[in-house]
Amino acid sequence: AAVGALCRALPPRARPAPDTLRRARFDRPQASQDFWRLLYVLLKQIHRGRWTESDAIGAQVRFVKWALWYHGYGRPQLHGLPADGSAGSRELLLAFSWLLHGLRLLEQLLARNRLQTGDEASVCTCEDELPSSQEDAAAAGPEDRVDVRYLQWLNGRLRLQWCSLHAQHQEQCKLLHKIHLFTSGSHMDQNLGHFSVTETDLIRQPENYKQLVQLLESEAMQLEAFLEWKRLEPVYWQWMETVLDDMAEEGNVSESQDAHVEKRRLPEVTSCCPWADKLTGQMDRLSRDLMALQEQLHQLVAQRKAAWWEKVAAREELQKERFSATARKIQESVELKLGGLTSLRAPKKKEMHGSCRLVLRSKPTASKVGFGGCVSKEAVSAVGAAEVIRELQVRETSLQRELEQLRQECRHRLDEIAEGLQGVICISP
Amino acid sequence: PSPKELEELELLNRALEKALKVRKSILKTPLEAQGATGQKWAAGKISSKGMTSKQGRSHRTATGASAREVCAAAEPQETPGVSECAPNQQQSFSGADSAVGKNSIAAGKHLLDAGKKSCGFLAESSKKVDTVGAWGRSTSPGTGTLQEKGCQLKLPLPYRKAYSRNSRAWERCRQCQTSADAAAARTRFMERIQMTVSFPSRHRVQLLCKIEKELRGLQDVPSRLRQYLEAEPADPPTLQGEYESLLTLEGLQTTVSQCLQKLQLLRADCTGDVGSCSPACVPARGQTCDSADMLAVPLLYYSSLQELKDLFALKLQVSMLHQEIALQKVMMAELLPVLEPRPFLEGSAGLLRAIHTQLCEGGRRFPVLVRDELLD
Repeated sequence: AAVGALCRALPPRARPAPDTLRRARFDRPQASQDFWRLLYVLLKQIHRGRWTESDAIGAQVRFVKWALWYHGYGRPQLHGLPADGSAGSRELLLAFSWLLHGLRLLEQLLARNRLQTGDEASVCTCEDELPSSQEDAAAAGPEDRVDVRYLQWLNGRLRLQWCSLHAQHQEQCKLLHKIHLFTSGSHMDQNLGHFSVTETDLIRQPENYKQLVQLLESEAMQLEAFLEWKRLEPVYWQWMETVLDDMAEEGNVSESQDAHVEKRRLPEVTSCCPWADKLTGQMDRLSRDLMALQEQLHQLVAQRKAAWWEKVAAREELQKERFSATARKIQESVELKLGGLTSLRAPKKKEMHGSCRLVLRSKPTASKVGFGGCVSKEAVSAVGAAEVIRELQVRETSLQRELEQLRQECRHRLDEIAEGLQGVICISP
Repeated sequence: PSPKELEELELLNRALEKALKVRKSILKTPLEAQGATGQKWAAGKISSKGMTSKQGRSHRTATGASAREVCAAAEPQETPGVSECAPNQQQSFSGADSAVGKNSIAAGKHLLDAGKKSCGFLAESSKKVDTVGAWGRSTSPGTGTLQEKGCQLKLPLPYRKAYSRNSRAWERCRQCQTSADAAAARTRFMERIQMTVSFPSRHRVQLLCKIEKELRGLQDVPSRLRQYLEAEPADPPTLQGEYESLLTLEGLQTTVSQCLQKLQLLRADCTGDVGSCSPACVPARGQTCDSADMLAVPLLYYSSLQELKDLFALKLQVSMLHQEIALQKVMMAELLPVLEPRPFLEGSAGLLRAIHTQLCEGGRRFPVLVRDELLD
């Protein structure tokens, strides 16, 4: 029953039959392929990857092995499993259980696949992940020569797209605002207060949204299965322990033999790490920035200090008691002013990377009187647009600086090149 | 029937229809797919992450107005007038504004009854309209009087039921705690299995993720500090002002050196221990969701249209800057090597100019090349 609830709590497209897990417990080879596929689909969802029904088993096995390694699951017996997915269902069951807790698998999947009924936007300022189109980049071989005017043209086109996108966003904002404003007071959820575009359209054409209603229902069932599973959880873990017991009993002899073999099949070790390189690059750039600032401050402070001490020497009143009281007050106010800076050194407050639902709220406080039985929980995590805008402005400034630094570097290098150009002077705008 | 009112009604309906047409083309994809895993009702989702909307024109205007049209200014009144809703423009509304409202109320009421299909007049009257832009200007005078009606709308019952069941389920899941028994059993299992699970890889990936996160926290520090710096007056008028300014600057100095120290430590962490790295060590997407409260969708409150517009404009700007920086780096890597080998050919001046524009001026301004004839 615990296993049944667990299966029903998984996303609809990745739902195994409870039997698969039971068969895996006894290490039935028939269950292996199914289990590889299960882990493949689930991990792909976690990593926002794409998959199709027809992905080859070899690719599935590779991906699952990589993902498990990535999350720290280095159990050699798993990494040594054959690439055709023909064996190892029990190992996979162990990995699956490990993921349940280690990765909060169920919760993450629920969150990732959540049905949206509202108008959502993300507040994350992380770099967009560009779709990996490495084939396109390699299409123009080294022999091909590309005219720089094509580059200019592409650039112009890109700018045009950006402008057009901006215009569309602004139009969309107007639309959203109107709908939110005019349907204010209608929503049964007091926290929201107004309808989203979907909900407004739902009123006009309910027949178009039958599927939405069904999906809401099935999601609710999935959530209810999750709750049921949480109740039955102890049973599951005890069951998993029996799996470990079985393996301990039978495996002792063969394991030590396999261990040597398996170790060779672990991912190879290299000494270069592009990820680390990228991070150090960022850190170096940041350091250079800060050091330039430090230099600037150093000079300024030295100057001001000198001026100050001159004044102090010259003026009697500063050396008296009275000033020290004022001095203390000033110190306090400076600490207050710079209070925001301490947060710079501490790790950043809760990072929000997911989507948020847009809600129009004109007043900061609203009386939250319960309304006819529906959802109106107080403990809703929320963020204000004004705050997000401030963060974005800072991010924009930083990025602008970074871009300008890169351009400056180009200017230097091109100026050098231009000097080598015979008979022509290049005057920058 | 006032022709002006009819006209207004029609304009608003058209606007709503157009706006939703845009959403429909996005909605089509999820509707076609079986099952809902990962499918989002993307219509509402506004992504500024470089997704160029394919709906070329921006006709989304005054939608709310016609939505409001549907609902009542006051309590819904019994009107048999629905049957009068003929799907063409010659609708027999009786006279005044409120009557328009009444028929709309009736229309609304029928919508609210379990799925009756009447009053597709909203949709159908706009079918005849061609899609030309600039609705915003012509409809804004008309929307004023209809503003009151939107607040009385009610969602259809099937949806409401499903929604509240769904919301309650989410809330219960969010508050759900692992029982002590379960936690104990789980810990036993995890401990036993951890003994056989090797750690070096985990350590490294975990470390790099942590460093990345710290960097995200530090990356805006220079900008913020400069803001403070610029806020300081160049020549404080009073003595107290001068003292305050001095203390502030010293405070900034302290922060800078602390950040630099921190960066040094992070860098050491990053570069140490590279020897045990692996080709599989790449940042994985979509893994930044660490918060315990992932089962709640946070709300993003905005208070005015301008705020919403600013928000989106800035989001797009940040996204564009990310792209520009990435492009800049790639262009530097590709274009500079073209020019750098000497000796330089005569004809390359044009190339230099073009590359200069791309790399240094973002493709916007051009340097001037002047023949240096005086030297010879």
